[in-house]
Amino acid sequence: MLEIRNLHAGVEDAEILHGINLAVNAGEIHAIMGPNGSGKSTLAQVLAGHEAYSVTEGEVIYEGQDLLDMDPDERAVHGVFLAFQYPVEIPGVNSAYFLRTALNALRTARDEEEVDAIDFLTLIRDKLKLVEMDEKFLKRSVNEGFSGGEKKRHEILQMAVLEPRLSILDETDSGLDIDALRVVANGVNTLHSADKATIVVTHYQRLLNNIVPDFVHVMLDGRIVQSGDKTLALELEEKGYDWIKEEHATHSV
Amino acid sequence: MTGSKKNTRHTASNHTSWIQKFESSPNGQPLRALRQRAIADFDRLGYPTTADEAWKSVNPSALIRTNFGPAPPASLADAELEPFIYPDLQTIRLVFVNGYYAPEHASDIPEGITIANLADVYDHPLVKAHLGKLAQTADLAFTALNTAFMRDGVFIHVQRNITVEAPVHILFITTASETPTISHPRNLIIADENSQLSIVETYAGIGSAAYFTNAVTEIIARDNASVNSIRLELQGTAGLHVANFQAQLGRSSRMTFHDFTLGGAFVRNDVSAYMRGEGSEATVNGFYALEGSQHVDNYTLLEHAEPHCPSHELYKGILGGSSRAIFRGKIHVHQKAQHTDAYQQNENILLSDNARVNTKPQLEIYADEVKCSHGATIGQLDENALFYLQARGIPKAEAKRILLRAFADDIIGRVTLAPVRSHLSDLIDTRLEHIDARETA
Repeated sequence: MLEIRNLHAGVEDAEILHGINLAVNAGEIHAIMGPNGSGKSTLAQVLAGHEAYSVTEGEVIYEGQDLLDMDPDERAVHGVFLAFQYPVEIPGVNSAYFLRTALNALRTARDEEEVDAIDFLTLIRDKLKLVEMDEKFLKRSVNEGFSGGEKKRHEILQMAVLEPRLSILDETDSGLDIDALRVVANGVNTLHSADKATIVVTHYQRLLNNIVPDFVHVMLDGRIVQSGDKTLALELEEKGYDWIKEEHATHSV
Repeated sequence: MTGSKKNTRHTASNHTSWIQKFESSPNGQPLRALRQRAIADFDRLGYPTTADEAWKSVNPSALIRTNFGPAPPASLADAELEPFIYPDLQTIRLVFVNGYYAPEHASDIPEGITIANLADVYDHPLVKAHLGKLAQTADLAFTALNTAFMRDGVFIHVQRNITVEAPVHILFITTASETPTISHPRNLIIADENSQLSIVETYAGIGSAAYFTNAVTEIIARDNASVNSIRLELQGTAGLHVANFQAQLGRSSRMTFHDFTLGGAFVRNDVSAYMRGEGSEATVNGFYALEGSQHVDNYTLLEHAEPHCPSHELYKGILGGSSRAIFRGKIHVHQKAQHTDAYQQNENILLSDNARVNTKPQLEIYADEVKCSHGATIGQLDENALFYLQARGIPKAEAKRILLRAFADDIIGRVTLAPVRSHLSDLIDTRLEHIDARETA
């Protein structure tokens, strides 16, 4: 589904990603772990198409197409979804309007019929249950005054409405209490299926107790330095990142 | 020294022409004393220059250099009026074309309210008692000019305990003319005790010729009265617009004012609310959306003279091209005005590198127990919010529109008359699309 080949990217003259290689197939859950500043979030933002980052080398092929050639909205139309680490507040735009506009933007771009307000309400009520959110959220401005947990659940709600094929969760677990973490993980697990892929970017192993990955990759200084199965995450939890840093330093020399 | 100062101010040749015009006007003209005082004030003040504090950041040269003559009377077809009226709203309508009252477009007037063309009621005791009392001419050259030359406009008197259900819609339309014309609309509105009134003032231009509208509106809200006022400034691309809106609030009265400046080459708005009665409440909000070389100037004064008066003020603007906006909001809390609660905010979005905003809050507080807050923001469209919307599949142009609309909705949403709100909503959508198209072109 997704193939990242030798991806170099950064901001202005500072390169952050120094050659990422990663292949993700349908049905798989990949976890990308790493200490702060290793480039995990940059990778997530580059995949979503944030303008602040420029790609200097390499390519990203998504379902046979050049992902880097697409605008952020085209990527969404093709089924790519980023759950933001820091969801953006949009004063004056209520959640219901936002969600319906986004859904209809995708449907219009795919030559499908738009969803009217009544059908949307039926649809959204169902999705709200999944993330255990109250209907009153729909009337509030997007993310404005939401707690950290509410923001993250709202991200998963968007994922539930838009039904992406490739979901990238950028530190969705950061700042969550255990109840919110359970809700978020349950949402992600429910939405995952054999024809979809999920990339979970996280700093902590905790989330991976609830979302069990098929593969775990460790990022360090803008590179994936180690890949393994879920046991790698447990090892990281136990020993921290230092041993990998040392091992990697030895390898490099 | 006074002489030399006077000389520099009076270089504009049409300054003297105003004085001559006044002197050649018939001596028996009504309100002669008021007019004479006004023209003397104008003579002393001269046209404002950038040396005047209140005009500091403005170059009013377009106002000064152009020799505006009186507009010829013109008639307006119903079809020409149509874009400015609300078919879904029952209004009491008065129309003025090129400054002249057009009775053929007026609607019937219900009981309990006196509405007349001002020029027909100079002898009315309330007109004699109140005209020119709020809008003083001593410091304001254009108000002085209006007072010296005023003729048509609206006089409204709502008797006590009367709620006027239908809003009064006053339209001042200027039609295109080969030579630059000027009109001086003048309105006096008096709402007696416990009365309730809504007014919509529409100032619009048809065509792209230069003209100058110099309007003055005085509103008196007596004890416990409620006056709801909306002003739409839809002047033509070469239209110059100076408007002085002065309201006085009696005990426990409420006045709301919403200004929407969407047109005009140069617009200067002076708005003041004088809270003279205890517990009165003033709301003054404004929105401007500018493009090209448009220039809009909002000077507001919220005067808290008595205790327990809340005031709310929010002005928001969207600027494209090389447009320019100035906001100066003064809150003056008199020593006696304890428990004042005044809030003022000015927010701006610049869509272009060449657009400019100057914003200046000014607080003068002489009372001790006062809650007073103010703030101003000038920024670009939030790039992160744009990316967030795009990442959800919404194309960039649509995402921009959503964000700008949400910014404007904050003001539009406060307009309580639904048909006016939806009309404004359409006008602003069209305008924002136009501004954005020019930016991305």
